[in-house]
Amino acid sequence: MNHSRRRLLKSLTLGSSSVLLTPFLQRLRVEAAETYAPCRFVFFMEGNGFDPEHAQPHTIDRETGSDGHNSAAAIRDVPLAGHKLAKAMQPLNEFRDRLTIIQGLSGCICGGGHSNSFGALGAYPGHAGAFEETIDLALAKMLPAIFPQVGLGISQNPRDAAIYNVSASARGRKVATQCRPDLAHGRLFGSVADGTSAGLFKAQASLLDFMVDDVKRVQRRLGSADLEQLDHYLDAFESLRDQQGRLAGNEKRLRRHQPEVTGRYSSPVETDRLIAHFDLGAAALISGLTNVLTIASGCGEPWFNVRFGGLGIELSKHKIGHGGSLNGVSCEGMAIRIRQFHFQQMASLAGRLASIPEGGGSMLDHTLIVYLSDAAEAHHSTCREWPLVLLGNLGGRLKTGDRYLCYPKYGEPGHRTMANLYTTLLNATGNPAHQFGLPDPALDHLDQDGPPAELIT
Amino acid sequence: MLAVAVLVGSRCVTHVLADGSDNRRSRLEPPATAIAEFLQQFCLDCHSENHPSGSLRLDDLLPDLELAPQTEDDRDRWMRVQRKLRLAEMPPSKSRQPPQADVDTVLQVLSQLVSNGEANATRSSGATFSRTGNRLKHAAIFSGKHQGPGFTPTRVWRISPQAYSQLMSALQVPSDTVPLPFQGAGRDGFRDFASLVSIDETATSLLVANAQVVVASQIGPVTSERLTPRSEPTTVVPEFARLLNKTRSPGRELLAKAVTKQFELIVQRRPGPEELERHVELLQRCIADAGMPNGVVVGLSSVLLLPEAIFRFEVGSAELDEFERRFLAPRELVRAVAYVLTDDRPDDELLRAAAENRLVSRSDVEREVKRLLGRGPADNPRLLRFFREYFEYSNAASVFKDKNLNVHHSAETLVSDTDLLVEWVLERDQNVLAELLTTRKRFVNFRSDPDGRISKVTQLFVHTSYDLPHDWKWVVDQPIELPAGQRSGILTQPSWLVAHSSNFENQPIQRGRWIRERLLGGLVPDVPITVDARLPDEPHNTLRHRLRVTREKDCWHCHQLMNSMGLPFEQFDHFGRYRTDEPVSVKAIAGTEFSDDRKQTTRSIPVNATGGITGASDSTLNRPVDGPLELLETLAKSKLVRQVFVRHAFRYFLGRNEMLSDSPTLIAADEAYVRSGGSFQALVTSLLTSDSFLYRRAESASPTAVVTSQGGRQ
Repeated sequence: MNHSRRRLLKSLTLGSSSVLLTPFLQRLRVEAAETYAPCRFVFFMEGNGFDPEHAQPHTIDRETGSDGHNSAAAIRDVPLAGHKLAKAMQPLNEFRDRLTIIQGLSGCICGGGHSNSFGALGAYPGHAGAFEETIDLALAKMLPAIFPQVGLGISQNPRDAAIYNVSASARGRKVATQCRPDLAHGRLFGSVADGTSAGLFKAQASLLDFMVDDVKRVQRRLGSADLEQLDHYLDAFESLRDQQGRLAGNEKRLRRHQPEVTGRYSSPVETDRLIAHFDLGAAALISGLTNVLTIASGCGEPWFNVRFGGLGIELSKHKIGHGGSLNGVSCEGMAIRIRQFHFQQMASLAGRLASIPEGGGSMLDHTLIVYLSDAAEAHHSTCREWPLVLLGNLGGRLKTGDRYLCYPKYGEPGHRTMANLYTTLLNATGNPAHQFGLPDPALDHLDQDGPPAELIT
Repeated sequence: MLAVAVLVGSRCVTHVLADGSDNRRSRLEPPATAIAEFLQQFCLDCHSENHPSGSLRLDDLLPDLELAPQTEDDRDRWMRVQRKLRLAEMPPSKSRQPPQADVDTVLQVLSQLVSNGEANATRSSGATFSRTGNRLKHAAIFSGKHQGPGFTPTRVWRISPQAYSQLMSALQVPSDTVPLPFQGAGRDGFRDFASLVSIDETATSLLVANAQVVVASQIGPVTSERLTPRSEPTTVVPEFARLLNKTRSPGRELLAKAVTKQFELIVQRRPGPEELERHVELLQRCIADAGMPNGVVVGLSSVLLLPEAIFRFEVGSAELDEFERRFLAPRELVRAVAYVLTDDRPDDELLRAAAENRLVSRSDVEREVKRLLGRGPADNPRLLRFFREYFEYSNAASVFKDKNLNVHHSAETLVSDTDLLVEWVLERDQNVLAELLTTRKRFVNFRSDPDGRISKVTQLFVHTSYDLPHDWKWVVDQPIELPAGQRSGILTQPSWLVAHSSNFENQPIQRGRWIRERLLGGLVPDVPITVDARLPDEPHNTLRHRLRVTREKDCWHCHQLMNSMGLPFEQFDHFGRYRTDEPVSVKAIAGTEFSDDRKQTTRSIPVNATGGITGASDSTLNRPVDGPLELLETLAKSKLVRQVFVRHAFRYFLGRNEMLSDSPTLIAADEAYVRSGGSFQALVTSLLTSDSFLYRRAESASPTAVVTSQGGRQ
């Protein structure tokens, strides 16, 4: 079965019903499902840039020009085995056979600066806002679940409940990053939380039914008035009600995997909240609530200026980004310490997924965790390179694991972009897209289409 | 390549699903087929080319999830289909009915299709953003040829984050237990714009959670772990607490009293009989299912989620006038008047006026508006917020600055100083705009507590941002007057300059753009999506010199509208400090400007603050200027600038962009401002008693009611 046909069948499952799906199509849908084993993504984004040096294994030389950027003349593709991971990446040592470090991809179309906001996952200019859908939401279309995508993260303001910083489902449709783990837990696992009886769940369902009915009544009464605003409100209640129904159908699984709500879930300390988000995100993946998780740690302006006091660091990330030192500790040292903390969380998530059996292997076998910064390569970035760490290979769909891959410098033959990577991910889920986002006009002489052969199987 | 033929009525459309040449099309979704089949089976018999029922033709719609709806009309038609299906109004009850599962499927797909279209429509038309209001020709608005009559299209307007916050505060719920579920519309332009703010799923889930926290605090401490309020409630509602005292299920009378009380507390009215019945039934059901107290918490939270609690309805009263307009109903007026000036719900006097039939005419509204304005700027926070969003100086707080370059920089203090200056000018209420563009008065690091105690905001030497000597002695008697020749009004306040700067340098382009759009009523196109609009990294050159790249052919078309009006502000550095020299690096070493040995690697070049006004529709304004003071003095005297200011006030207070039919409203507001000697209160009162504010007309009304000075309708 070719990719197009698979994709058609997969997407039909997003919304078709019995009458509209002929038996023939139903049969093919099953076929498609069998072809596609479980598949899930985690996008883990850290604000303020990912210095290529923080990703570079100690024993592999990084070729740089006078501007400090990657100057490799040709692609370099070597196993990680036998090489020592960078200090910042040490927490991932346990998973080095599943790791792929990618250097040299560019994303100049995004513009750079403190953050590329939606452009980081959208491969389009950061200043354009939610210009198109971002890759996490594009993948979510191919991987339906009760929550197509779950966005969690931390902001510099611990009181922020939801911010709109990195994800979009369509042009102009920003998708929230939930910043309070306690509230996000209520949204994902509230139906089976402690103290929640079947009766309370039923009452909540009655409330949502009531609101759907009430908003419709108001719409009917208003007649020809501009009702778009109420349409959104009604959409939201209907969606919550549908989720509620589907949550009820998965109660046992949710109860088995629901995370324990600890003090970290409502902690004012940013490291606690991030740990809680990982705990919650892992549970959401394991319980099948979602197949696409986006965790944004201090991403987007003006939310990125987080101070990691929980690590004993007194400077906020913006100040750290400007270099210097405080009380004898260099900003570079602080940045590495913060990075290590982030990779510890990534390793912890990978460990949890590896412990859950799935299809003759583990959940981790069918997962890809993508670590990157929304700002690209620096606190004030140019996006001429965009370091990435990938963990996993999506059940063999990707040629990733135990690899160090460095693309040729910006503009050289063989150079590739973030859009190429995102196209690869789409193809790996059965979407035969040839492009994602916008092409870089300065790279017209290069092939910016399709998944690079060195990444996809 | 795989192609799917979609037959819609008599039209056959081929979708390319896997065409490598066009990625946008390659992501088309097959559910389009489902919609096409559905339309054909249940809709097209009546809604096709020949005499479509209800003037709604559907056979020419292309259910293309990726590209459609291509036009506003397509989108509107899809939305009509969506609404009719959702409300089960179509197909007609006498016709064959589709299975509910099919309807659900189609609604799900339509939801995505319409939301795609909505986003595209918003972006392509740009009509909903406040800055694009300038597309309407200024001369046409103020020509006097257009006699209106003014109206605002009927609308539903989400309350602002501040208003929601005040509602929670009025209910005495601790703010840390009820997070703000939604935000204003972006950083630029007016944020409480009716068509720009909406509610999504995440916001709604937060609203639901907040509503239950509110009710939990209203019923008082309870034993259930899950719903125990996180802090001691300050107000327990006896009608609710009484429900919990019952060992068995409370009777209908107690439930009705509780629901009625909740209506009074939240939406400030009693429920109608049918409403009461439905809410009591819900409450009963919740109690039966979840028991006490959870059933009460869930059941009574519905009132906080009513559309009426979250949105302002502006549809108008029953009576249509000759122009197919409706005067706002009293219940709508109380909220329109309260929320246009404050964040508070309508006060008792407004509610009483509505209840006593004293809020039914223009003079009634004028009486209430003047009453509220008479309380002063501090009690009408939306007045100050207008100036914050118009000048955008409050954005200074979100511009990151390197403290090592100026340890005394405190953006928050600079913003609060400017707030005080605006309020000071508003209290005098004379020549408000000209004063704000030219005054040398300044509040410096000044705080006045509600109890009248005056103090510094911070111990930092913020005064150095105003060019006061390092050893300047802070004074209680403020505002102070700065020496002549250096500063002139808000645009030379450090807060405005910082708000229009980047982390390390001035932004003459953005400053020029602000003047072009906010003072001259022009419009600068957005940077094309694929243009990397960055200046060369040349720390050895002045910013003025680096701007030379904008003179290239493709750039100058837009930059000629901005640069010359932004460059005079080079008189100040990016912290807003007056300067006579601009430091540049001695040699071209990228990044040296941030290094510790900056002093050794820089040299000073005398500031060139010349510029000019160009391209103004009032050509008498177009002239070169020697610096920012001459620029601002020229602009402050301009009739065009004054009228553009009036247009912006209109947009802010009416929550939408002006139309030609608003011409009489704008002319009257401008005249009221001039006649009163530049009173902002007179301007606002004029706007809020205008037809544009008071009347609503359905967008589906016939396009008849535009009257010209030549007489008669057009």
